[in-house]
Amino acid sequence: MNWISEEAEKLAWYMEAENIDYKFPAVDDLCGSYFEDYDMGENILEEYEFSTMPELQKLLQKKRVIHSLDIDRVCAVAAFKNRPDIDVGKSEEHMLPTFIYNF
Amino acid sequence: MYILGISALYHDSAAVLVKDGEIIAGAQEERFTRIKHDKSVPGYAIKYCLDFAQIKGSDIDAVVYYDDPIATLDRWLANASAIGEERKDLLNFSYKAMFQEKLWIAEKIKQILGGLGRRGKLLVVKHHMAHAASAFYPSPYEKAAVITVDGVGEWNTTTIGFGKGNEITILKKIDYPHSLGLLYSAFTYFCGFKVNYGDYKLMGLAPYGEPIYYDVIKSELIDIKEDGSFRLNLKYFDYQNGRSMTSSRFEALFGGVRRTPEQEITKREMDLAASVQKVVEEVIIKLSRTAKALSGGIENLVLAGGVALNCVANGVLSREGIFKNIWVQPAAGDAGGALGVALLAYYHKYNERRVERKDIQKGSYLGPGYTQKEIMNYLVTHSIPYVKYEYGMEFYHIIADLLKQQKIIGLFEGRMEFGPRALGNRSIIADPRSETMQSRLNLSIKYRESFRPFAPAVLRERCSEYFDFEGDSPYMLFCGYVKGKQDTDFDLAEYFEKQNDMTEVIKRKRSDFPAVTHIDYSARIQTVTEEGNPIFYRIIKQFEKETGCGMVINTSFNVRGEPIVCTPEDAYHCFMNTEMDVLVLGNFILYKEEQPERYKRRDVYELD
Repeated sequence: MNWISEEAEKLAWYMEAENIDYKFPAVDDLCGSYFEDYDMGENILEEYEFSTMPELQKLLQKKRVIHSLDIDRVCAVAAFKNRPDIDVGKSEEHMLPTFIYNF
Repeated sequence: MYILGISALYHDSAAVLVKDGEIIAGAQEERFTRIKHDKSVPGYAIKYCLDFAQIKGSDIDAVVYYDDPIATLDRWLANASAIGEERKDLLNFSYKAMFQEKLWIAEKIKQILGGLGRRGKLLVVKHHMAHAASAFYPSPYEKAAVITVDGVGEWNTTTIGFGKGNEITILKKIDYPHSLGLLYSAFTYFCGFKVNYGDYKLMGLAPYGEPIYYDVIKSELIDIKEDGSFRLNLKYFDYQNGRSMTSSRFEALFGGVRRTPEQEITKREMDLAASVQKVVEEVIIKLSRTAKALSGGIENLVLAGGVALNCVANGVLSREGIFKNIWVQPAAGDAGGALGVALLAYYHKYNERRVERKDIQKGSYLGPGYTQKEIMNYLVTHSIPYVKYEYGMEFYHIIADLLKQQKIIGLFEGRMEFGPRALGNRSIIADPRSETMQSRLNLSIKYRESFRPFAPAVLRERCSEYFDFEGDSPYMLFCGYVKGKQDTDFDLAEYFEKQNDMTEVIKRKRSDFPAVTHIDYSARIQTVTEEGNPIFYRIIKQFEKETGCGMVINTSFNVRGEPIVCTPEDAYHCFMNTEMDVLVLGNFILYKEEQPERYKRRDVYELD
């Protein structure tokens, strides 16, 4: 995978992630509540299964709140890199830390 | 239909087996591995559950896990991307756990179980739904408001919901990084106790202090709305970076660096403990009012999540009278999640009707038990001297008489408790009337800080004579106040202005039951009934007949840093490692002075 050519996607994901507000909000007397509605989702109990990298990627794409094909792929690589039976590709083995450090 | 619930890889791994809606077995992994708060995939606990039911892994209909690994990864990534240059430390700290362990939970359980039951696939449930299920389904209520509060599970830290019949609906949530559990943990850490495992020590310290930091906590650290929702001021915390709980700003705010473990406790720590306790109580009360409003004014509340183990806050909530009835899951922390998901799968996935039983939690006596024959085999094999009795008047009289003689007794009966509290089956018991017993127990048995009080196990029918507490507290999850206060003129605040020595304060007699009376006259009450635990009840009843006192001290059967004993062997080693006088193993009584010297050994546990 050519990471440099996908800079645009990476940047978009980064900006989306940055938009999440982790900072203490100025105390807002007009705001009556910090509660959010809970989304029960379609299924309270979900089957959790994957045995290949593409299956894990598919699961990540379906369930993660922040969508990014790049991140899903490097997560799958990170999950499978110590599996003796799976070749994740030497050049991609350590991509996740690098990917995140370089944000 | 068998359903296996599992909690693992965070804190307090556990397995629970449910058969046709009945909880038949449950245990924490730490009890078998002897590693306190063991978080590994609970192979021994799973084996115990299967052996108890005499089934194989392939007989299980569904295996259910108490956390959604993908949602957890989602939060982990978002956290990593949000913390800027600090993310390298976070990754180093948790990268392997996330990608090599948590994502592979199905594989790891499969390896232990030889499969994933008849379904062949792992079912996962969101963490707070697991807590909610652990609170609602075992409760005696057909309808109840449900509150869960902990550090964090996937994204959520607090939820409010509603249970009716076999359904639970979660309505509101607060997400990470805004967490009441993590706020409390930050103070636990700052006061020199272990995060996740020392929270109860901070709670025990609170009555020594004054809540002088309450205002500053509310103005600087947490913004609390009237409905109990809150936001934290993250610049004072460091947990997002995965390094420590508090930042240098926190130190600046509270007058210097944190106390290190084993360092002397000063008035600052006491006041901080009192202050954050007051804040937690305020949030819990406000959340409860909101839960009541959201559930249409119903009179029942159920609670779970680690914060629900704060029995002082539970006591305040009970006295507040917002709800007529409150039920708290005794394994309110992560272990209870295993129980919650097993019941949830039964009721929800298979759409079964809610089972109506009086005590679905079964007194939380869900762990391994040992027969008379098994105990005797152990004693005979190791040439351990004992005296055997039948369960009857003589047996109960001897134990009561030993208590009267100020002996400290290890009590090992029936099935081990599920959850953090010993409730009479793996307990150390003693006379609560003694003025020296608290110090004796702390220093020569538990090897722990002497400021922490012991709990009274009291005959249910006499509870209101001794305490201003009405109702049931079979799981030791509510605090009440001792009646007949003494030494009320003593000015605690003035005393600690001049010195930090807590031992002198502890020695002061504050009631007729000084060993179970905390400095503020509170007590962590366990009510005992004959129906709930016949042997324990009869021991206390006999003690009452012989002394007039209808309660005993009940503390967990372990030393500091050691998990509660599980087997007769664990109990014997703990007995021999401490100054305990007598060990009651089923209907066998062992006296310390008769035991062989060769069995005396000092196990060393990492201090908690």
